[in-house]
Amino acid sequence: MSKFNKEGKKIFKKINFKSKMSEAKERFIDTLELPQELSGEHVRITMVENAQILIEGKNNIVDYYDNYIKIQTKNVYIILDGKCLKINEISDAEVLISGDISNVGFLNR
Amino acid sequence: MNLEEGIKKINGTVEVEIEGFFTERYINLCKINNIKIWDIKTIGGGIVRFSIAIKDFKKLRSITKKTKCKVKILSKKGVYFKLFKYRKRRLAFLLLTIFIALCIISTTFIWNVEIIGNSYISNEDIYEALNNSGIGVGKSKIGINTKKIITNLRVLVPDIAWAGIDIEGTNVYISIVEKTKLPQSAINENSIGDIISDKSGIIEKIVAENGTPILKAGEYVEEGRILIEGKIYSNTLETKDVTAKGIVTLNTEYEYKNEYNFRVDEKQYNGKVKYSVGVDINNKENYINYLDKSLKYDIIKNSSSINLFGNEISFNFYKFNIYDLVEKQVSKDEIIEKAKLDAQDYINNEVLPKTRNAKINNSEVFIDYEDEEKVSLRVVYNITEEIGYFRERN
Repeated sequence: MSKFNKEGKKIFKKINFKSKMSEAKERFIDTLELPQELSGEHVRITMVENAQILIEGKNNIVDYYDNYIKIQTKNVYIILDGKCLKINEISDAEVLISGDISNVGFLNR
Repeated sequence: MNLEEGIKKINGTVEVEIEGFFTERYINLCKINNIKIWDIKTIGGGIVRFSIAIKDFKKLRSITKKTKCKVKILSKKGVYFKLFKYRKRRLAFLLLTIFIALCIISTTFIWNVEIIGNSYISNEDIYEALNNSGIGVGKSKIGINTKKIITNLRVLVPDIAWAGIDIEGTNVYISIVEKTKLPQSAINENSIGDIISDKSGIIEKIVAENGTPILKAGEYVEEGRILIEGKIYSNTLETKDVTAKGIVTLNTEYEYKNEYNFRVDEKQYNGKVKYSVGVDINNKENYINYLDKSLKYDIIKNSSSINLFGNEISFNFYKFNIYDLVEKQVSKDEIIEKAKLDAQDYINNEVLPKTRNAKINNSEVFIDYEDEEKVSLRVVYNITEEIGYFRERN
């Protein structure tokens, strides 16, 4: 039992340290008034009318259909509804989607 | 899209269709494995199409195994596939290689030499010196030693103070700064010498600013004689050498002689006009002449020229005004009037430009010879002009 307890404490300490670090990072960005997306926690979304959407930040495609795309980011799921949705470019840092976008929704993870 | 990706796309791209249950995972795995895919479209029923660079295509194998998808190639685009298709057309390849080689070789030659900055040194002198130094139209630009050429150029054309060579592609630009020459008056003021006559005639006025006048007004002077001597004589002091300076005016006579016929052919334009076109290459005239040889005409030429590889090519438009020659009897008075006009033209165009501060005093017409057919006339002009040039004494 004691062995498990020790390991559990170690993991807890690690998580605690990580959360503290991210908090410090956010505080630092707040004080210097830097853009939020620099922390690496958030994604930046840029839209050109309803024709194109650029999502900058770490992402994963969860669902991909012609009229529906669900993208997983660090904090939220981004849900796109529309017609003829097409992924123009995809890389580790960004995804560019074009088509007739009718709705952009968010779902907390 | 960076340059590397652009080159990849030109080199060869494949449009791929995947079919399976885990197409999203397939896309995510491509992203994780740094396989660049673009233009991703879903068709429905688990079918996704995308484009991929030819180099990355083989990397898809492991992902396909993992996701258990089916892969189908829809189309192939790019230079690689084109070359593969036409690989057996050896002659075309050979011609293409020769063409590319010719293009590359032609860029190693000089096609145009341009000289900038010269005012009194003629372009021809510089071109000749450059040709002797190793730069010219048609010469290779490989191994050109600009420093050596500049030194050579300055030796061959001593009036160049500075020269720069700028090779831009197949063009060579030669920038030149010329030596400034000392004005003649500045040279004269610092040297001892006399004023010498350069024409023969009767002296009208002689004013010496410095030095001693040898002749007086009214005396006849021949070409080459001293007018004002660069010496000052004195009874009390020693003779002093100075720079001769002064004004000498001379009365000279100029003649215009010509023979005139009483019967002359006069142009009578009949209103007929013909047109033609032509091309001049390096001042060599070529034009289409379809007119009858017996016709007489005046040619009016309109041209616009371009410079191509150092050759001047001009495109011309010709207008021929056709006339007939009509014989006409002219009176003696008319001939004299014509002779006066011709003499005036001759004096204005030939004589006066070669004189200094000239003034025409009078003119007279003399008949030397006359018969039924022709008359020989002589128009004599009396002109007052400034003469004399400075000659340094040895």
